[in-house]
Amino acid sequence: MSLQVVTGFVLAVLYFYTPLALAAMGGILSERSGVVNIALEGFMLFGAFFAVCAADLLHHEPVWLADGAGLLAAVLAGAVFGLLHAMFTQKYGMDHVVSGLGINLLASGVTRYFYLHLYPNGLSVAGMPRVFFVVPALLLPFLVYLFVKRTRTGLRIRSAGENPEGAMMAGVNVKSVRYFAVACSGVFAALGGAYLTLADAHNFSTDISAGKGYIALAAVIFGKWNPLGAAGGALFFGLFFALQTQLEIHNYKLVLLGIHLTNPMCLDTLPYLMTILALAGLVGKSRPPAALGRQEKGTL
Amino acid sequence: MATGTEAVKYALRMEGITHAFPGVLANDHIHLAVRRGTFHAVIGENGAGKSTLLNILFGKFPPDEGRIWIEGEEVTGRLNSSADAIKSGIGLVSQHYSLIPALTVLENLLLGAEEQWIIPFAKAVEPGKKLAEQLGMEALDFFQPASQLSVASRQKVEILKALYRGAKILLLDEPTATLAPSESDTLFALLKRLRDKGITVVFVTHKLREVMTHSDAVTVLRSGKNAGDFQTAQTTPGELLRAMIGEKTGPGNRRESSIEATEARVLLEIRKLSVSTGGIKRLHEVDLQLNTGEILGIAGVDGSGQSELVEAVLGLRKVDSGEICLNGSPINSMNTGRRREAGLGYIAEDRHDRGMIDTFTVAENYVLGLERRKAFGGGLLLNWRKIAEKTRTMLTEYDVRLGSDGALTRAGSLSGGNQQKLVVARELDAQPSVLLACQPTRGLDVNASATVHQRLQNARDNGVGVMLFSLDLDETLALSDRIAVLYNGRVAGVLARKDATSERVGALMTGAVD
Repeated sequence: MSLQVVTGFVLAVLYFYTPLALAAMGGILSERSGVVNIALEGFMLFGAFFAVCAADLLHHEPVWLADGAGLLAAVLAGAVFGLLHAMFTQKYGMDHVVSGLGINLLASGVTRYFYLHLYPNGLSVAGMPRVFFVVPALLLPFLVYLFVKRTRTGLRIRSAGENPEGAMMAGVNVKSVRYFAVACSGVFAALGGAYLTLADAHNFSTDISAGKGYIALAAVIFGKWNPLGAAGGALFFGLFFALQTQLEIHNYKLVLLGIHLTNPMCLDTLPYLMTILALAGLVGKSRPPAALGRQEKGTL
Repeated sequence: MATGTEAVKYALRMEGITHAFPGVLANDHIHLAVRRGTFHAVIGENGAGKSTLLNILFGKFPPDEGRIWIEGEEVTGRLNSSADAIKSGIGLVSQHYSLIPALTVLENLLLGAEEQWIIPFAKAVEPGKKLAEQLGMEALDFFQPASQLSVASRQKVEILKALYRGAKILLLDEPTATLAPSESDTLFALLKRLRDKGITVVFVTHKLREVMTHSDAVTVLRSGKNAGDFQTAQTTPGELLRAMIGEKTGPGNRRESSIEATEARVLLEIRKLSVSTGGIKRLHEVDLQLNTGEILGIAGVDGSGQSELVEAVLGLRKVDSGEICLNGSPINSMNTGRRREAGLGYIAEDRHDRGMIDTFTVAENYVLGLERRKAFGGGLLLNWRKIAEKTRTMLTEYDVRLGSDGALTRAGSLSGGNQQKLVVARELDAQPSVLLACQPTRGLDVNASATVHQRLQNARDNGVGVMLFSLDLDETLALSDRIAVLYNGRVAGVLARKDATSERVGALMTGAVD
């Protein structure tokens, strides 16, 4: 294998890793605080859409300004919908999965509607190089690890996810800790979405997140709710996405029992198949935060 | 009203504290005055309002009425969260420990009291270590997860945690409930050392012996009201007991058993039964006999081993050793279903938890556990017509008022009294030889209680052996033909009805006599 092929493959892995890792770090913060977050998918989609909208709005301005606006729009969208998920689950006691599912359906419908109506001819933005996302996505897991382990806010997030009553008795305001954690989770996932539109596709298409939010959540579980482990999970899943595209590009053929295993349709299932296998078998014993997803009775 | 210098003698004062829960006045104008640097006990039966008082003090909920002073300064209306209470110098060691198992000891200590955003763990451990040394806990590893601590150490860490955040007043809610006797002694030695350092200790208990041995002053609560303040040195266990349980007369629904003692035979025999949970012995070699045609009341303060005894007999809990015989044959190796078929009936303490399924209809609930009977189908399919018919006859007999949907009414929509009657009807209709009745009238009004009492006595007269578990001493005294008292997982005594005065039973229950 030539050096070129190897470099290409490593880069491809990193390109798939980046959005997964960003969203997975969001998943870590939310779930460690006790809030189940399947809404990562919706946060990513909103982030992807609002980023590209803002960048398009300023496409006459210098590129750095358009990109900055795109990132800011993603951050704001992530924070707003994160707070919405926090409010549904913490203020109105809604089941965490139901709330997350609602946000995902909302994201899919709203972005599709506005995309088709605002951009009947599609859109295209200059965007930014992928490296602007890849490097932060490589550093972020270490920062999140230190944040969760070593800071006051991190300690309080962990306590809220493990034993909210005990945390409250120790003087922690569990509700506000969770609002903060879920809002941060929205921001990180939305930035992962912004990567998809600003740095990867340079445009938008409906449901562009294509389940990456769910795979990010799988990476969180794969990594046993540890930021470094989740990053490892994102890398693992990224590997199979990259493998799939590389096999397609190089038109590699593998025929087994008369079935053309490497036809594009079979290959497309590879990352998802690996996700299922990883979650089913490889993870082994994995303990979620003790109070994850629990509906609290009374006030906290 | 104490003012100025006089008020400052008190570390804590509460006046006219009133708090109502739906349907219950938990605290009714309670006052409490605790001198600084003393060891003050708050005692009372279950439901006397002790825990409510502590929770108010720790900011869990504000009182409906009343004023609170800490160190002479009024804090009324300022204790709205645990954080507020901690700031005011109050520390609580609750019955259900509030340590977070997944965090390390040090993290638990710091949580909520972290001074810097980036926590300097290596530095933060120093004051903790110093405190631990003062408390005689040099061996404590601050970096192990709290889940690895023993129950007794967990409690000590709770105390450490309160002191770490500067508590001057330490509240303990039934601190010895989960401790072995030797561990209790260690705990009290520790608390006395704290008192001598100027910390005020308030502890809630219903164990009179602890109060007499360790406290300086006592406040007695009864049914949400004050029932006396005492200096421990100037009082006797008898005086405290009278204040605690008051004059017990018992309701007048008692009937003597119609079965002569000479005809009685043993239905349930428990021999040297020992049970433990989490390494702590909850029952020590308990011997009990239940005969035909008697109601055996099991008295004891909450947590003396009652639920362990019930669950061991039902097969819901593993026993360490001992034998349980029903109608002469051992049932130790049977599962719960088999035991019920062999003649055990069970009125659960919490009907929503174990007695019925709220979302099922009355008929569905009625057939639970009886579904294998031939009369209800017996084969693959249930015969709902027959079940509904039988349900209706039984429920008319028990005077359960159903809604317009009859036997198809959702059980959860019935009143509490009717739900309980449904459970009692089902259990008695299964014709058990032994009935375990746990808190059979909890939450019922006078009439519904009277009906349930009638039914239990009718069953007894038909030869059923009833084991009655009630935290309400009145009920136990009113219905029982014999009373066995549990204290710390042992049978403290078995009394015949005529010897079972409330003083005698109360003294056994609280460990005031040996």
